[in-house]
This record gives sequence, structure tokens and C-alpha cells, in this order.
Amino acid sequence: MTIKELWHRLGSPRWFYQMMGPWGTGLGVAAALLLITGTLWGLIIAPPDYQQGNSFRIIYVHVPTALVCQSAYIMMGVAGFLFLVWRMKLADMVVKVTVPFGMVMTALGLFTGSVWGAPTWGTWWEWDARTTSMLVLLFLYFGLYALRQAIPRAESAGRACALLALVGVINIPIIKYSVDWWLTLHQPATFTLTEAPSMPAEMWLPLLVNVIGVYCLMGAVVISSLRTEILRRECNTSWVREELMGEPA
Amino acid sequence: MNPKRKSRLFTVIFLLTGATVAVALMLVAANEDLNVFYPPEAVVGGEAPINVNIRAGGMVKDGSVMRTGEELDVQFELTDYKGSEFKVFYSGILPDLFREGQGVLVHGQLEESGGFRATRVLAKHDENYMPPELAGLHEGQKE
Amino acid sequence: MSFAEFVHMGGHGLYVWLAYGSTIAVVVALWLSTRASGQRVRKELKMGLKRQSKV
Repeated sequence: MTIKELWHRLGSPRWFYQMMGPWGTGLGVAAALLLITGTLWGLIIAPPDYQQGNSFRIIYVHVPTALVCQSAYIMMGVAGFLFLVWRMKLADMVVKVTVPFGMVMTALGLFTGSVWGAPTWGTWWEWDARTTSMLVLLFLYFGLYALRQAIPRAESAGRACALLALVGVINIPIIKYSVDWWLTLHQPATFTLTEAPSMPAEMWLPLLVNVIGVYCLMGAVVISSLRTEILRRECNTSWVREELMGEPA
Repeated sequence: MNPKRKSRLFTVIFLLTGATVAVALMLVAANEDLNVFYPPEAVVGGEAPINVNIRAGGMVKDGSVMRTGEELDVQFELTDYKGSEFKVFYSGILPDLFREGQGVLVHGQLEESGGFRATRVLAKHDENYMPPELAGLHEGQKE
Repeated sequence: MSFAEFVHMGGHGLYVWLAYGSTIAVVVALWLSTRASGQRVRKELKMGLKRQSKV
């Protein structure tokens, strides 16, 4: 298969619908197993922190949610780019169905961060560069959701959302480097790709399990909602009719 | 690539570059204001305004924490370990993580005397997490 | 470690359980709603098809 063929296949909603069903299920099962393991591990087996005590355990829900909402946004930005330039139908659907997932994860990241800040920093909220840029991310997700509702013509809505998704990606490096560029209350990153984690394995292993788990969850949710969206948009095609008749009720 | 796509590609890249440059310029212009607190150097050097509500931060100097008079009254010094230090006066409950050698952030006003009257004290913590047993081990090695 | 101690979390129980509880509840709700909307759309489309075939 040449690259061009692969490209056309990936852009085909029908191909995606028929190929990705098992992937969605598989990732969903993997996400459930990993998240249950990582969460129980972090809650029960992982040791408390020498300074923070047990409130440290919030890291196991805070870091995965706060990470995945940024990755979801980047994915959406790339899809927006593909839609703007190549008008790939599937890319527009990706931009649409990622919004609820990203919004929920951003809200969870902010909320768990706030709950963690209360006992450790002594405040639920501080307007520093990290917390503020995360709040901007939440509002970008709100904006994308509202924009699609506000524009009645599906094609114009798709283009407007794709552009907002793409331009909003600028916020992601700001979130990431906010703790290095400015003085913030938030501490620097725990995990980086280049350096060893700043905690022992018994503490970061459950975190890694939950991070991988939440990425599987993103895969499962996005694939499942994409397949639904494909059915909805292509409901007048013969292949969807055949597909629906073939599926058990 | 067909010409239509090519022109769309250039438009998108142009828009994205423009937006990135605009945001970068805004961030550079607002650079100082995006810091959530004044470091000790700025407080001592007179950059921090006097008698206005501001936020300042630093490390709690070892051996500087003193309980004065009333039960909740406390004073301590904040340092950057590079020669800039200032005194903080506070009355209230300190966060759990407050201790000597810990980074803290204080809300309040800088007085003409150079002392800082804090209305709130927040603890900063770093990204190094450790189980208690291991931390004890590290302490032991230091001593 | 007793169960009561586990729940108490060394005085940080409120924060730990609030963070974990909200995350678990929201993630489960997200997954259920994703599945439910998939099933609803399939059902609606199938009913539409049946109506069409009768006509």
C-alpha cells in the first residue's frame, strides 16, 4: 500500500468505521484495567510523601487528567489543520468529538489541582501563570463547543472550529513552560522526557500506569464517539444502511 | 498538491504564524506582570511598590522563625540564598508545609521600614517527592 | 493500617476522597454517556430505516 492510498483510506469514514470498532473496544478494556490498577495502587500501596503526607496521592488523578487534556487539544489542532487544508471529513469529526472529552479532563485537572492546593499551598486558587493558562484551555474548549452550536451551517461551523482549535494550540507550550518562564506557585514538571523522574519508582510507577490508562481512555472515547458521528453524518449512504441492518439490535 | 490546497495551506500557515507572533509579543511585553510574586531581590532592591497589596516570595531562612507575643503572631525572614532577605510579620494559621528552608509566597504590603506585613502565607513545594523513610535516610546523610 | 485510618488519610481524607471521588465519578459518567449516545443514534437510525422500508 502506498502512502497515498493509506492517506485516502484514513480519510474515509467508512474505512475508519469498519476498521476501528475492535480498537475502540480494546482500548476501552485496557483503559479500565490500567486505571483501576493505577488508582488502587496510588491510593493504597504507594507511600505518602515525607512533607505532604497522604494529600500527595492526589497526584495520581491530577497529573493524568491535566496531561491528557493538553494532548487531546494538540490532536484536535492537528485535525483542524488537516480539515482546513485538505477538507478531510473525518478530521472535522475529530475536532468535534474531542471537545467534550477535553473539556471534562481539563475541568478535572483544574478541580483536582485546586483540591490538592488547599492542604499543600494553603489556598484553593492562585492566579499564577500555570493555573491561568489551564483556565484559558478550559475556556478554549467551551468556546469550541459554543461555536459549533452557534453556527447553523455544518461546513462553516467546521471551518470556524478547525481554525479556533488550530490557533488555540499556541496555549499548549505556554501551559507547559509557564512554570519555567515565570515565577509561579505551581511546582515544575514531575515527568519530563529527558530527565529521570524526581521521585522513587514506588511513587512514579502507579502514576505512569494511570497516565497510560488515561491515554487509552482518550483513544476509546474518541474512537467510539467518532464512529457514532460517522453513522450520523453518513446515514444516507448505502454502506451505513447495510452496516445497521447487519448489526444485532 | 493542487493550487487550491496550496493556497489554503499558505493562508493557514500565515494565520498561525501571525497569531503566534502576536501572542509571543504580548507575553514578552507582560513578562514581569506574569510573575505571581516579587522575589527577595526585587523587594530589597526597591522594585516592589510600598503600601500596596502585592505578593512576594522566597525561602524561609533557617533559624529565622520566631513566635512573638500572642499565640498566632509569627515573624520570619525570606531569602533567595544570594544575599537578599527581608522580614515578614504575620498573624494567623500557617500552612502545613510551612517550615524553615521551604519556599513560601506571602500576600500583603511592604512597609517603608522594609518589613513585609503579610495577610496570607502560602507554601510553595517543589517537584521532588519522597516517601518518609527515604527522606529520613537523606536527612541522616546530610548530618 | 485499619480501615478507619485509610479513610482518614492522616487528616487529608477530605481532599484525597474529593479528588478521587470526583475523578472516578466523572470518568465513569463520561464513558457511560459516550456509549449511550452511540446506542441512541444507532437505534434512531434503525427506526428511520424501518420506516423507510415500510413506505
